[in-house]
Amino acid sequence: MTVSGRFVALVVLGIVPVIVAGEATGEPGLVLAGWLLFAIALGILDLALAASPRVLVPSRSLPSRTRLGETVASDLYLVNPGRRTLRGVVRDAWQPSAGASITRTRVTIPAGERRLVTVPLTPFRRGERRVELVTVRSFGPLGLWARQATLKSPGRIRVLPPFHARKHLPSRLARLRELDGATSVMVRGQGTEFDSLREYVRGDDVRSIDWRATARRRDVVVRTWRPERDRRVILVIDTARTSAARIADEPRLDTAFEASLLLAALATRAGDRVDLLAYDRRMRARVQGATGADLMAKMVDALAGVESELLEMDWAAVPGLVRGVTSQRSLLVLLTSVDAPGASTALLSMLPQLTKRHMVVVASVIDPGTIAASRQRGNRDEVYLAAAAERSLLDITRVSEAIRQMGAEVVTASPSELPPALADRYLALKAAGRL
Amino acid sequence: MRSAKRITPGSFDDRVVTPRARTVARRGLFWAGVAGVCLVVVALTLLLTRGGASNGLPLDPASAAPTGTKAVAEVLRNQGVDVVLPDGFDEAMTASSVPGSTLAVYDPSGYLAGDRLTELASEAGDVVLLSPGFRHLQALVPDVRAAGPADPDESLDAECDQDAARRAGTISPGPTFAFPDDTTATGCFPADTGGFGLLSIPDAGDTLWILGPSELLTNDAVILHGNAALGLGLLGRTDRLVWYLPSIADVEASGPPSLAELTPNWLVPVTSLLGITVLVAMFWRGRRFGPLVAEDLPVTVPAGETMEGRSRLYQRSAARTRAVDALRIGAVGRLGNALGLSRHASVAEVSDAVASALGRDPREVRGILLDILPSSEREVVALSDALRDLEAAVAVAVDPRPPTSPR
Repeated sequence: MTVSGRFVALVVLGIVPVIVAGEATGEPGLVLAGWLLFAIALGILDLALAASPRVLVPSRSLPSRTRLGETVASDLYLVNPGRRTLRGVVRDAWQPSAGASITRTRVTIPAGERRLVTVPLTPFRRGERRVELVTVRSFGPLGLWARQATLKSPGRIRVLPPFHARKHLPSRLARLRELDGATSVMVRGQGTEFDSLREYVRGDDVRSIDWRATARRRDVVVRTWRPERDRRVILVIDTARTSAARIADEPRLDTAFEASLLLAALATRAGDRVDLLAYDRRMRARVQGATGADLMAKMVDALAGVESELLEMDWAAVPGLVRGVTSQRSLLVLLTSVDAPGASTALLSMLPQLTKRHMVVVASVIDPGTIAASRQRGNRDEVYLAAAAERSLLDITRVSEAIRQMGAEVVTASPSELPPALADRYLALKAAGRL
Repeated sequence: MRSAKRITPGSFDDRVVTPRARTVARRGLFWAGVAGVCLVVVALTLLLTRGGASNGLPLDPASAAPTGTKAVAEVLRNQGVDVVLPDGFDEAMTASSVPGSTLAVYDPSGYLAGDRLTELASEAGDVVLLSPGFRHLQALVPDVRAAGPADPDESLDAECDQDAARRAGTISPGPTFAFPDDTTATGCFPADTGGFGLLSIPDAGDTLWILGPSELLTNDAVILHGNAALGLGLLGRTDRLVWYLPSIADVEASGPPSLAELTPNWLVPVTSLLGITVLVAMFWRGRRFGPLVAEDLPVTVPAGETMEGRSRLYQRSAARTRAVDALRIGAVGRLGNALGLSRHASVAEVSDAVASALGRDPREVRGILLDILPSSEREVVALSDALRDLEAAVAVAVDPRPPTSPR
């Protein structure tokens, strides 16, 4: 049960009779008691005439998934099987991070009819956003008192990672086509394989003329080349405690998702096979054997619910996992954090096992705030902060050096720069035929 | 199958989270019972212990407490005396004006003004003042003065020929009153203070009695000595006794009218209505629209925290050399890069290369990059500035573009 603002107004309106009738009768206390009784009697009457919210039958119609930052409509149907018209307010109790912009909706549901309550959702967190309950307040015809009931009506919507980095995709695909024989710029060399023969056109590199074929065809024929295909790319995302760190208001983990999505989109267009593992001490997400558009859909779906865990990364298990995916030489991208030497010991001790068989790239976000702090030296405090920043940059440099010495590549960049930087490194490796 | 179950009005209990009013009532029944039992116990306890509690006014003829005087009043009633307990001055005036009435006044707080007591006494027949205060003595018998309390260990003997006093023999001690010799008053129960426990002053056919140790009338003390005999003899002289205990309501209003008289009578109801409105409004706004929704919050770790912590650590422990070293290593690395030296070039090589590129004294550059040990915070800042200037100068020196106007 609850009361409305109208009831509050009714109570306060009692001032008039208390003063007027109180002056007239000389018993304002009795008038006050009478007015209160009158108001409560009206309220009880109202409550008795209100339709029962308990009989409502809710049902939902929800899109199963949406991207972070997009707005979707959550539809809630309410059927009133009772005998009275229900006038009331409905609260669809979505989790706060589902970003429901309307939390209260006025409805009037005549007896035996169905009404739709639409709530626009703009989720601001990745993962599964849920709703369990619907609360209905049913007011009586006077709108003074209301009956309130909470009904179970579970629903869920999967919020996928946003993939902002897809804006970098067209330019990288153009670069990929440059590597391919499709454009006139054709580089012959390592990392390319024989594609086909075609007629010579002016501007082609004379070195690529295939003399034997020319002799056979009595026409000048050139060989075309294309980048190597059907290589394997394995993305390993570290979801352990260091991935929770927020850099430039984005957790490391989300940057890793962006980078891996961009790389996967690029690699699958380039004809490579992409596998994804998100791991800390347990497998958090795994995508294997998917290609093309299916790969992207599966990846965002798998990554949607992955959150940072407050655990230490179990690097020793990673070589085994990679062996489980493939024994073929592949490009192994470790999306982790390159930090203090002490924290990176486990990574460094495991790396040689991987670099022996695979091409390993370690990608890490670097804090632009650290670089800015190392430049800022206005007063004493800032100088000390700059010293600390220099020290942490030095740590990163040392760990990066150690990783390079073990035969792996390192990509470090700010959160917005990391996805394109990783894609560029992939293209460079592909062009150099090192996959 | 559960999902295929048809929803009928009888099956909604598993869909509705809010309990029905009956369920709430049934669940609350036990606690309501506990509360009821507690209430009964408290009420019983109060009822049983209240009889002995010493509340009620002192010398109140309606009070059975030790300080009350119900015993005396009841015995007087049994003896046929009409004991009247007026409520307020006006009633006391009316009751006293009946001929053949004795008026007993006990007013330890002095609520009754002197002139009103005079008015009352002139209306009444016999008057018994029980432990009167100074103002009352001044108003009625200005000659009589208080003589102080008698020795509490010695009872007082009558030593006079008043009937009531003689029958009583001895009474409990208490305040005494004295009078000058040239008056017509009689004193009984003389005490060591030079005063008497009981004075009788004839006054135009009636008698004014002043009883000092009025506590002897209380339920507690009336059984001692001849207290009961004196009390009954004094107060039961006539068939009618007006026992008047002035209260605060009998204080005569004086000065400007009080706040209560100035405000309209609906003020209190209106303010209480406003208070009730506030309560109702609180319920209106405070009633929760369904249960709270739980959500797991993500872990938030600001990445810059370790860096800031390390900087504070340097600062607090005055690790100047270590801080400057960090700045120098960073600067040497960048200078080496700018000058195209190998990554493995030593500090000395970088320092020499910088000196030759800038045309500066090698020792000075080496001092900045390696040798100077800062001994104060000021020097740390100065060194940091020098390093920054050095980097800027080298950047300009190795810039292949023609020098432009400084930005």
